[in-house]
Amino acid sequence: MTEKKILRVLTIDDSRTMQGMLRKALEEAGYDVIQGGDGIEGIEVLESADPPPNVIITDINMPRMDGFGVIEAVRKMPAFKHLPIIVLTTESDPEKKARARAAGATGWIIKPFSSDSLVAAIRRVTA
Amino acid sequence: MDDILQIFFQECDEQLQELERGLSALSDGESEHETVNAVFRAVHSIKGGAASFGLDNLVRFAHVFENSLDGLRSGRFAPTHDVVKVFLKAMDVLSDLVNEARGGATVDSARVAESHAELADISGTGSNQNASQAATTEDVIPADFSPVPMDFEPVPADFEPVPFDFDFGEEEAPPAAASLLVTFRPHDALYERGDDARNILIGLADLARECDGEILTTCDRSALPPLADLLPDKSYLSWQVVLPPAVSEDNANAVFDWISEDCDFSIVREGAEAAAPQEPTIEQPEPAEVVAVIPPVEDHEAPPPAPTPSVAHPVQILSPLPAPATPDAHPGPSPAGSAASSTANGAAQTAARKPEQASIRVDLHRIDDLMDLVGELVIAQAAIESLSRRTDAAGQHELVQSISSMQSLTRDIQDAVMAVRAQPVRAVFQRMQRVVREASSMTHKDIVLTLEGEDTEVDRTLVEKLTDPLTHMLRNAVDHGIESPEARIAAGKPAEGHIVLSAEHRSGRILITIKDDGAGINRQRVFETAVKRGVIPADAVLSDDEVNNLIFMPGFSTAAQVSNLSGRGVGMDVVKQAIQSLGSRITISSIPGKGTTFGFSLPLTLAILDGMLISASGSTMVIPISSVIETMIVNQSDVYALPDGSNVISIRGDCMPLIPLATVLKLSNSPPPDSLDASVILVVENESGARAALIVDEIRDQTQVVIKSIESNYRQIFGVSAATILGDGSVSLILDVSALVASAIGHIDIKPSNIRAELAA
Amino acid sequence: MTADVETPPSPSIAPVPLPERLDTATVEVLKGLVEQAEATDCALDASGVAYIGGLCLQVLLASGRPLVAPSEKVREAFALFGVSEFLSEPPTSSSELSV
Repeated sequence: MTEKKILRVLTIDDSRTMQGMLRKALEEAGYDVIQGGDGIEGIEVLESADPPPNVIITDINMPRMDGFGVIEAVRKMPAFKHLPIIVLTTESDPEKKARARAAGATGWIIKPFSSDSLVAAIRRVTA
Repeated sequence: MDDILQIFFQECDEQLQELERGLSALSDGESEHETVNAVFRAVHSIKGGAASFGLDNLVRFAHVFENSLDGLRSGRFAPTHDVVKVFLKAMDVLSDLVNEARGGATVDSARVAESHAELADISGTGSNQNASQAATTEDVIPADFSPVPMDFEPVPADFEPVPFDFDFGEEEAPPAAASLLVTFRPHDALYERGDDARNILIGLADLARECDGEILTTCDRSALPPLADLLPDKSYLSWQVVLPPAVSEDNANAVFDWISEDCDFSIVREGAEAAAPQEPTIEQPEPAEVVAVIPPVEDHEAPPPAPTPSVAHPVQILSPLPAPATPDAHPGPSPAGSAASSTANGAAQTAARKPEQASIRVDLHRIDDLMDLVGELVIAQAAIESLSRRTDAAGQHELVQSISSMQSLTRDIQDAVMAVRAQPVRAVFQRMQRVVREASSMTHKDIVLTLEGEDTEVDRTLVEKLTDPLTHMLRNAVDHGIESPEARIAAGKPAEGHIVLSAEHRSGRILITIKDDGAGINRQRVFETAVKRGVIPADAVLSDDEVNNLIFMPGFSTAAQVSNLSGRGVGMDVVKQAIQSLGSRITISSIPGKGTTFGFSLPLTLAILDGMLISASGSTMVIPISSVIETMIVNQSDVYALPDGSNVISIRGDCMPLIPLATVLKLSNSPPPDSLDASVILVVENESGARAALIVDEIRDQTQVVIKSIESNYRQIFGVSAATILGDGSVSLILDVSALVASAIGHIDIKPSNIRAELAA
Repeated sequence: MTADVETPPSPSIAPVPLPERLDTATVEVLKGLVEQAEATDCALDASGVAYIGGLCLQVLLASGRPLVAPSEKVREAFALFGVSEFLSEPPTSSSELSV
């Protein structure tokens, strides 16, 4: 087995609590974490990230640009149109889920998440 | 974990503020979609965070609240007065629950239940067809929303796999006898959404591993064209996977849950008829073709740690700020360029009664500004260092120049640091909404509090110290200022009372006013009460202002019957002291039948001020520049003597008292000279615009001084607000212009209407 | 430098190294590399590959170019996809696959 590459995760959430949790859980699981405080900032962070992230985790309900907006924007960027995007939100209603799916989300995870379920969800789309 | 919990509580405070702001806007009749969204988001966010920490009480209530707000958001009902009222009440409960979670007082469960019921009621009555449905969903937290406290045990290398249904909750089905056959063919769309056939296979392998089994995977390459004809984005392969019997159909289905539209798949129990007919299935390769056995996947766990922290947007400065008991230890804020305070009266010498929040949020650009300046400072310092080694005249000249540019740099840095510490008064002001709400419901009055100038920034230590005095003053306004609805209607006023709480910049200070449209101060009753309580003798002759100010006397209460609101031993005297400790004094103006206005002004900073160095009778003293209007030489013909021995001076037709500083401060025993001709005077103004002329011996310099409390080191002295240490090491007193002006116009009543308000001292 | 098409993959021609992550975003790049390898008749160096996705797998399977020194990750990926035999069997020089 050769040396493992560190996977980079971009998390987009307007809640600093959630960002703190994501960072902690992901860093303890060995991921490199970059973050954006809302959709607009998330896209900016994505565009300027070097190296680019291997997966995006985004909240749905955010000011300025929501999670659907993020997914649609990322899917339009040639460099990132195949980037896995996991939607992370407390919203559990099927309509939102369907919208996120239609927008091109790769997966869905419900807050509150456990550390394990979060890592498992990322693994599922990046491993 | 604790640090994140702290962030959570901090964020709760912000969200509650946001909620307050949004609900206030709604109650003002604004129903912008974004406002409703922001309100919803605030509660939503608190719920989300609380759930992560397993704060059940908070989650449960926030959930109900959120549901109700969702009804508003989706337009099921309108934000009527009553609806907003329920939301406001719920916000108070939510705020208390946050406090409870933080280790504060336990919230009365009856109150929670009441608010809970009201919220459920709103969404229930709001829509007829959804009424029953709403009522049931309101009370029940969905199964997938049981709080999951996050544990941060390091992820073990062979961590327990989770079924890849992103809903994480289903239990495995009882083992079935026959193996489960899963066949699937991904569409191009699967890859387009960033997913991969590989992920499905891993999902299935994990299911098998959960049951201590393995999967047998067969790849069908029959559709794969030669490389030349292959379109890279197109999906050609399909797979068949045999799962151990213990794996349930449901769990296998869950793997495809999210992607059911992007993938043909079938899940069949071997030997059984098509148990879960899904999409039209692809042709199944015979099991004999099984060629690969997937060993339990071992190194799909996360990569090794090497976190690179990224900078999040508003920078969090998490450093304990010094307690304000040592006001000289830290600089206070002053919006860049503006002058500092006039009377920083014994700069915040009172020790903090409760622990203050130890962190502040600062806009990134303010930190950047500071950083830039510090960079320049380093350069300037290097320049001075090299210049100081030169001995030639030109070098000396440059050195002087460098030092003076260093001076302006130092000042800029000071401003920048102050800006970092500056905070809008919004946080405190918005808390007052609740104070008024609760007070008016206790006194059965209908009162609206309007906030103005919430964005006005002031040193954070001041912001926090405002809470208690404002709370008392607003309670006082509700309890004693605003009349009962019946009395208001009888007086021809609207039944709803109004209080305006405002903040504004005024001559280098922040002026805060609380204005009610109540009955005004009943001076007759105030006087009688004061006599009854022995505060003043019955034959005292007092001006209207002096009567007004009686309410600040210790132990004074005018309410005919002591209500349970204001009559709790905390009187206006405490408020007066608190305001004084902030370097200000309260002014009152009251018009019978129209209302009362309380005002006080705060220095922008408690630490540094721009002063004018003057001397009087041999003493060097500092006068805050912000209160100096002009300086001039007296022309004797402008001076008029008054019968009581004092003088007024007419400056361009404006009469103001002349204050011989040395005499007033008892620095000299000799009577003032007969002729004031050619004396130097400073025209000074207090925060409400009353002016006086100070006679001094000499104006020496203009300088910036660090304020040292004189009260904490000695005691309060009339006419002196604080002390400072000058560049030559000598101690100098900072004059309290407000007190000097007030005492002068106390003697000479020249502008009654304007000056009444100044008699607060 | 052009090699004779007749000769089997010869040690004199260095195998084309493949990128570390063969995910969906890399598929075009991989196709280019594989076509280059086919044109020069050299093998593909899979020693540095840590990830293979479904679309890239299709390219590798369709080309039939031999994978030299497959990393552990590559072996795992092929096992996962149920195509391990593609690694163990010495592939024919033809691009046609014997199923």
